[in-house]
Amino acid sequence: MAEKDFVKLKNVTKIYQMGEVQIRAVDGIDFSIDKGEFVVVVGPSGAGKTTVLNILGGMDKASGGEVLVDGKDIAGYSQKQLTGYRRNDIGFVFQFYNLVPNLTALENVELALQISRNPLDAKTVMQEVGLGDRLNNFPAQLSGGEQQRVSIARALAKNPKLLLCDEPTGALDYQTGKAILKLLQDMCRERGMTVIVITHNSALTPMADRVIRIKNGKVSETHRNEHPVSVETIEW
Amino acid sequence: MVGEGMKKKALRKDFFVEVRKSRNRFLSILFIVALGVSFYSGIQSAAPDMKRSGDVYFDREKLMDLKVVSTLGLTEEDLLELEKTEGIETAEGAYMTDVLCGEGDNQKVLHLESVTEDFQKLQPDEGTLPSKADECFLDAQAAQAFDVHVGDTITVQEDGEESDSVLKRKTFTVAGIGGSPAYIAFSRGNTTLGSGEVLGFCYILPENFDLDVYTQVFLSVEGAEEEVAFTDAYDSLVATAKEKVEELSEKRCQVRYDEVTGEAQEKIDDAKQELADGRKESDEKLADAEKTLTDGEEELEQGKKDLEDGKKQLSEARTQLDEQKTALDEQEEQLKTAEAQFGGSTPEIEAGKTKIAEAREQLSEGEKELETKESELAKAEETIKENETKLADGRKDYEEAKKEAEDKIAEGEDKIADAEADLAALEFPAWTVSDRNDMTDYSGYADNANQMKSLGAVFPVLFFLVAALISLTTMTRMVEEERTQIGTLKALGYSKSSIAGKYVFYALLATVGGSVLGVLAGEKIFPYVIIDAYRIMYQHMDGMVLDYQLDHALVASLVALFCTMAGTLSACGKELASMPAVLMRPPAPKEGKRVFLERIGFIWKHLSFSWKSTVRNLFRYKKRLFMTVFGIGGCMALLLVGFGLRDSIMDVVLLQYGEIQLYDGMLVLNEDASDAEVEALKKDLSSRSDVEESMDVYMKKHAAKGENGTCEVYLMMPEKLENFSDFIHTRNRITKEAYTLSDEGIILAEKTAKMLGVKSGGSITVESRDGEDVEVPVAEICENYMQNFAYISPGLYEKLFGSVPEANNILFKGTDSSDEAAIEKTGQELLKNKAALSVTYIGTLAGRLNDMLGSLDVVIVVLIISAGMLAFVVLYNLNNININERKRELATLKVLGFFDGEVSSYVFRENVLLTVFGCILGVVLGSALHRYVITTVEIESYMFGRIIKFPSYLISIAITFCFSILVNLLMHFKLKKIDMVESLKSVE
Repeated sequence: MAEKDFVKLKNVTKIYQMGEVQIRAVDGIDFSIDKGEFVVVVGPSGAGKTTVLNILGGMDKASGGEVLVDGKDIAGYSQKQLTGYRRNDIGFVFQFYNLVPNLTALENVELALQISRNPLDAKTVMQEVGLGDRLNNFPAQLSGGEQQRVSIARALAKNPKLLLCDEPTGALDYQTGKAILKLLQDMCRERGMTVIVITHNSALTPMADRVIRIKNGKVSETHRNEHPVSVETIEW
Repeated sequence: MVGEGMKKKALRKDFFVEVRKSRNRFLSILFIVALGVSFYSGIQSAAPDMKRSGDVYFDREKLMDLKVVSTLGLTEEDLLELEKTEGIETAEGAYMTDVLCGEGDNQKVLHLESVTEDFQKLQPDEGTLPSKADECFLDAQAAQAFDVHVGDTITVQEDGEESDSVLKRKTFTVAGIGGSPAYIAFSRGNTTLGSGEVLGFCYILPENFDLDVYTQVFLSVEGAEEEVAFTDAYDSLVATAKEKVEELSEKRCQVRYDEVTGEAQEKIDDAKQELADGRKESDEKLADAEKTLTDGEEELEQGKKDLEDGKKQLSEARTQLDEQKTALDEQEEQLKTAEAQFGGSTPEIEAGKTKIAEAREQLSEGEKELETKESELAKAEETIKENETKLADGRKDYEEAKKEAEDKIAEGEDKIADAEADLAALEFPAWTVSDRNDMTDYSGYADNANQMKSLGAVFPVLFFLVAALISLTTMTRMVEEERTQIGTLKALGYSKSSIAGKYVFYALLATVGGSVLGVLAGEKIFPYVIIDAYRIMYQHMDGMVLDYQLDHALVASLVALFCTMAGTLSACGKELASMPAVLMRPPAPKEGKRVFLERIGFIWKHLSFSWKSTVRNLFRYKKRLFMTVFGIGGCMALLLVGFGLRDSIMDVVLLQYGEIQLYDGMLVLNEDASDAEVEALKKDLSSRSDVEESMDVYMKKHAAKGENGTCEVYLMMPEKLENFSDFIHTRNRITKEAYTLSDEGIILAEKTAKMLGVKSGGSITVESRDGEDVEVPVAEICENYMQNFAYISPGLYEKLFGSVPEANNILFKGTDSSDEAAIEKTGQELLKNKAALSVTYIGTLAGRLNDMLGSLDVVIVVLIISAGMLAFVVLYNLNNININERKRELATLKVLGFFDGEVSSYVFRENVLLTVFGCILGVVLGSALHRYVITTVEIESYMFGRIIKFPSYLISIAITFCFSILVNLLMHFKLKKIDMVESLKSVE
């Protein structure tokens, strides 16, 4: 059913040169993800999760290795190609939502759509994320959870190949956080979207199809949950 | 105590770290302050610097403070008296005359002066000063016109008769070419010679002048050298000395008058005496001659008589002799008869015979004697005849001599009568005491300096306002960024003042730094640029004094300080008033607001999201909107004023000489000319093929009074009204409605009307030639840019002033107005008429104005550069803040997949909109500022155009956009550098 190795990282490294010292933020990471999977990348702060996310999201370039997304190695992309990659293939959900404060909820979604190749209808997506009645509100008029829903809608509406979420519940309270995770899980299941959630919270691992643990810039463990549970059943 | 010290130490460290960290922000305040301060203090300093530079130059070149010219010349004694006058330091006499130079059409007037030792040091560009009598020093301007070089010779021609010549020599070798401090710019004055215009000066040694008295005396005023020229201190010092000289003038004029009249009278008396003596002598001589002649005649008469007597005696003697002969013959006969009777001789007979023979002998002797006498007599007769002829000749000579003597006497008498008449006609002499301000170019220099000053008073306001706005926005942003820190400090118990101190000190340091930088740079650069630019006009004024003017520096710095402090305090006031707890929480995100445009659905729906965001952004950050619009508006306004000034002055030339005064030249008539001479001139004018039309006018300067003030008005009355509009176009400036001159009232020039405070339908008071005040109705106000003109119809003139005066000027139009050389040739030929005194060409006036325009180009360049810097600083600062504030948003857009160009255009759209708004504001602001500047820099007798032309708007807008685009380009690179990781960071 699922396309194998939709995303595949082979010996990816990222080295920052800080003066004379080399810092290996990512030190030879290998993993692969199938299409339509709900993946949780988990690890403590400073383990290199965000660097992996940046590389996968086309926001940063790997120092070495291969990053294959849908069969293409984005590690060799130019800046311009990377922008195109972000534009068409990636949906990004931020920890702090990053909505344009001057645009209404609907307009924030439409903002992403105007640059996308084959976008979804903004209003439909907004209804799907449960904000059908808050279309014309400005971000400042929405709660954190609602803002994150707009952010998810903005990412989804682009109809990306990959939905990347950076600590999507980090700025939210427990209940709202759960609701957002539920939404992401539902989107994955209903739309067959490949979703990668990055978090420091190990409690979330049972809901994932695949769990990747990162420690000190290396993958310490990776496994598939044959029976992932719904987020509602998880407590932390 | 220790705690206090620690606290301060910690804060101080924080402060310096802050400055280092926010270098851009610190520099942006520093630069705008530096810009404002340098602009203000620089341009303000330009005026005193110009004056100081001029002063140094004039002191070094020893330009006179006062000049005395007398109608009867100045004597050695006058010179001594002048030197002794209170307040006068030195005095030196000099000679001067106007001469013609060059050939034919190229004949121009030179102002010939004698070289002075203590005054007007000449500056040779090439060659040397004249050291020999046959050398001269020529004006560079004239040398160029004549194409004369050092070593060439020039020959000058004097006007008038040979006997009036004041020069001993007419040909000079050019020893040097250069300038004189008496002629700093282009103006060389006027003359009654030739075309009426002086082409240049020429200095020669004084011994070349054949004059008994000085033509002019130069004076230097005690203490004037220490004062700065063009200042009130200098002016009042010179004015005091001038008064003293004028006081002296009355006394000296009387002396001079007495001297001249005395000399003349003496001469007349001598001549009379001589005449009398001569007459006496000649009378005596004649009498002697007469006597000699008469004596001769008498003698002759006597001689003649004696001759007659002699002749008579002689003839008597001859008769006697003849009688005796006859008697003798008879006796002989008797003897012969007696002999015959006696038949022979008897002793008696013999005795008788002997006796007879003796008698005969005696007789022949007597006859001989007689003959001798007769010949003597004939000789005497001849002598008498000769004497007679001689005497007749003598008589003739005498008659001639007598006539000659009489003629001579009559001639002498005539001469005496003439001399007496001249003496009677001799006017009382007058001194003309002139100071430097009477020199057109000298006062023009001061005018130029003062214009700079008034310009410099207006523009910096913009900079200071922008400086205030920039520090407000910058400090607001800084305070906002550091709200958490402020909260922390507050929570720790720091006082408000020590927290605010950081920001106040931050702004203070930037302002003081900017002020110092601004003063140091501005007070050198601006005056340098301005003075250097004016050197086009003042070629030989090489001195440049760039002093720091502390007063301007202080004013500028204080204003700047006030502006930035006001900005800073209002920025941190709000935050400081908040509770620490509020400050520790992140600020509530600014609410997106709907703008009124959204209500207009059909426009809003068609806007893209970026546009929507742009529009909402603009209204969200009102402070920034205001600042940018104001900054760009200011830039645009500066440009508009710069180009507008050019338009306005161009207008004077274009409109005044192209559309209002349509004639090409004006002949001033000689008031002493006879009617026949005037007739001849008019005939010449009407018969010439190069003169299209001419009009006789009466023109005179009158003092005029109105409600608001007084001024001198040129009252112009055409003799006939018919063709008046061919020469002068009187019209409304705005509606262009043409006015015709009628008996209803005068048509008054606009600027004049404004100065007098009169509107059409009102009236002004004009002083008539007899000194009476006459109320003159004003019918219309007409467009006019130069001089105070009032046009009056002959009918009205007669009604108001009693009689119609005779024309004293003739305006003429050439067939081809565009050919200046042809017009000038016409003028010169017309001047050959005795009735023509001088001629003024419109072309020359226009040329002079164009020179002025040249110096204004500098102002425009200064304005453009300043405008550019203003726009740059404002836009750069705004964009910096804008980008910093929205880094997160922009990083997000990048993550969303916006290309660099798209991200840039997202930001630049705001700039473009703001630039558009700024331009609109700039048009309004610029027009107002232009109006203000025009009225400030305007000289009394000029009115500059009031309109900024369309191309000037276009150029200003184009330049403003260029600056805007330039900043956008720079920002593009800054935007490119924004790291997408920013989007992942937590909210500050």
